[in-house]
Amino acid sequence: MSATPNWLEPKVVIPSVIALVAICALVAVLLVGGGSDGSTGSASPAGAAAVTSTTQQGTVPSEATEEPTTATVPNSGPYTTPTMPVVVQVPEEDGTPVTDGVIDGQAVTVRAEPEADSLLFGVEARLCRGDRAVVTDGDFAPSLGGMCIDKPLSAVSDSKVSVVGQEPYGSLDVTFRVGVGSTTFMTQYDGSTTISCGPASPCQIVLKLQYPKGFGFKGIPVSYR
Amino acid sequence: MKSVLLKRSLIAGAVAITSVASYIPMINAASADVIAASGSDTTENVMGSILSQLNTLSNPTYNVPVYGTSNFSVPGDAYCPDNVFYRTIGSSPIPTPVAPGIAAPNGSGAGRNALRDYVGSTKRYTDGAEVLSSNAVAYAAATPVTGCTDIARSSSFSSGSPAATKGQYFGFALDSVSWASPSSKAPANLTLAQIQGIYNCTFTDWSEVGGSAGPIQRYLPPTASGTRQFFQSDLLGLSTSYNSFTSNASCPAVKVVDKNGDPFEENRGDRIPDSDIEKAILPYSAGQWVYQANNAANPSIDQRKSTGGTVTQIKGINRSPVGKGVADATDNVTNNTSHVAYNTIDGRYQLNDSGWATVDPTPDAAGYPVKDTNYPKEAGKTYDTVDFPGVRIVFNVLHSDSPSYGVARGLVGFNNIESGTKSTLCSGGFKSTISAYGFSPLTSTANGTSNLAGSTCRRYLA
Repeated sequence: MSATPNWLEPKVVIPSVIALVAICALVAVLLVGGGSDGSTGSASPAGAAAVTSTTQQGTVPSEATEEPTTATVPNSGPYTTPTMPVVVQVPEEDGTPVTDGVIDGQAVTVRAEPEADSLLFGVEARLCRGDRAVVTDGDFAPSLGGMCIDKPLSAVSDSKVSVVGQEPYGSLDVTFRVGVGSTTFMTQYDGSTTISCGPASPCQIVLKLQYPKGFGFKGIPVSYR
Repeated sequence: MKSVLLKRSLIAGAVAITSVASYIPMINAASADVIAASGSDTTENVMGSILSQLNTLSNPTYNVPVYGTSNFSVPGDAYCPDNVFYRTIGSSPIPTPVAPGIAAPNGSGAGRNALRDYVGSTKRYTDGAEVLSSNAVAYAAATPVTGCTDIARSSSFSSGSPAATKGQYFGFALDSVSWASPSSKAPANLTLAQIQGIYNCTFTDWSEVGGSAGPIQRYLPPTASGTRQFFQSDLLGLSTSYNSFTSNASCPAVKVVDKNGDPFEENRGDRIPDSDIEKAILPYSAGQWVYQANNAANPSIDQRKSTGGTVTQIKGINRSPVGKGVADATDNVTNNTSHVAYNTIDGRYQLNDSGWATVDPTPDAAGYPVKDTNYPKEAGKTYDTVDFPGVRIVFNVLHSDSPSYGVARGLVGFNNIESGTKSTLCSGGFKSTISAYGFSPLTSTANGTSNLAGSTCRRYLA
């Protein structure tokens, strides 16, 4: 029989120390992160749990589980679905995104590119109010979410553009003509809504990106001059 | 900014350290109720979205896929050890479940049975091994399995399932079930009598029911499928468990396997063999059809298309010949036959429901038939006396003996008393999500039975 007390054995001490350090680190996180902005949620255990259930086990995730948890949803403004295997590139001119200082009818082209081990099946683009986060497909549908325009704001602009990919499902360019103006329309469950886009009302182009077993959203800020 | 960087560094460190120490029992295991839902394929996607939005540290939510190609693991809590739901399709060999894990429930009935069986189990486990009750001390310290499934997704109601008086069906959305076909020879609409006649071999050729000449091949998903059960009870006029379909030389047997030899999954036009494209008739959830159609660019979501690109179309039901009395003799002219509408504002499909009625730029005099008063159980009618057949409510089923019943009800149910507490889902909190996934949200109109609380759900007891 060993003279060493059981609680001093390495198999007990090492995990205990590790666990203690982990607990201290987590407590520090909570103290530092308390009352912070939306970035807190992106690393929250709740969000991690959702990811664990779909990806770490190797299970093919359903479209639904690709959507973020409430904790990761910012209160306002353009939003990007986390873990989306697609990168969106907004061209710049003189260091400024081409979506800054646009005018009515200006065509903006952005490129969506799947990550190396993924595919991009298609992209839909809509113009949406700039102060709300388009997070779900319900938000994206004008008459459901009331966040995206129901019709073009002007004769020279778009309300919706769709691009369908072809095999081998690589990158896609989407050209959207942004408009200036206002539209008021009924939603199915939340009454009437008004969306305005112009110099005093920044908006956003929202992309719905289709990839294997899911889709996600990317909001691109649009400001007007 | 410095605070954010520090916070992120600490998070990264904490995650790394907790990963190293992952063999130590989960810190949250004793305090968190892990909520797992399984069952219906029809509601898998919409509930996946809703549950992911309800996911919290204190109540992590897991939505078990019906036909995952990999095993699906759910971490343990006080009422269930770390658990695995085993895949039933994919590469051979298909794994044999190791208890307390089970094969991923493939359908509403299977989901309800999993809920029933786990809740009723007296087995307990420690470190993956069953502990027998004869070892009283170890048994008391071991983890039970009563909470390994907390919610059964169900697209149909079944009296007595998962347990009489214990089972609680919380309806959260409207759906419709109709017949579907990829055949160019099939007509646009059928009467209930014609659908029934096809499935009982009275009609064996499309030309006998208003289509072009060509043989018909009947398909059905597995018996545990809620969509099959509802199709049988509310369109065919049979029992939910009926499985004695006749056949003869001109009426081949109902097919229940797909082109790969696997069980014929519900809502999968892509699994029809090419040789049956012009013959097939099958039940289809209108909600699922809408969801797939609205993501038609994505071949991993749109399951309507055959290898050659032929789309399985959801078809209409002509109500009039069933007979509702002289006053309704012109139903075939005035009554809308379609469960599905094309929303010209959004440029996408949706159920032909009250939401569409609110915004439809060209109001349809023939009506918007997907409403709760056309669900027989809600209307107090039978399938052949409702104004429009095929409308159903889809459910999350709970078991009142489940150890996480209270938590689960707080996520997907409500207290069915006047002014009873309501979950976010039953307070109208996911209307647009429900619609976006092809279903229709329920109204908050209170009634004296299934909705005393004025929620946007309905509750029925098994």
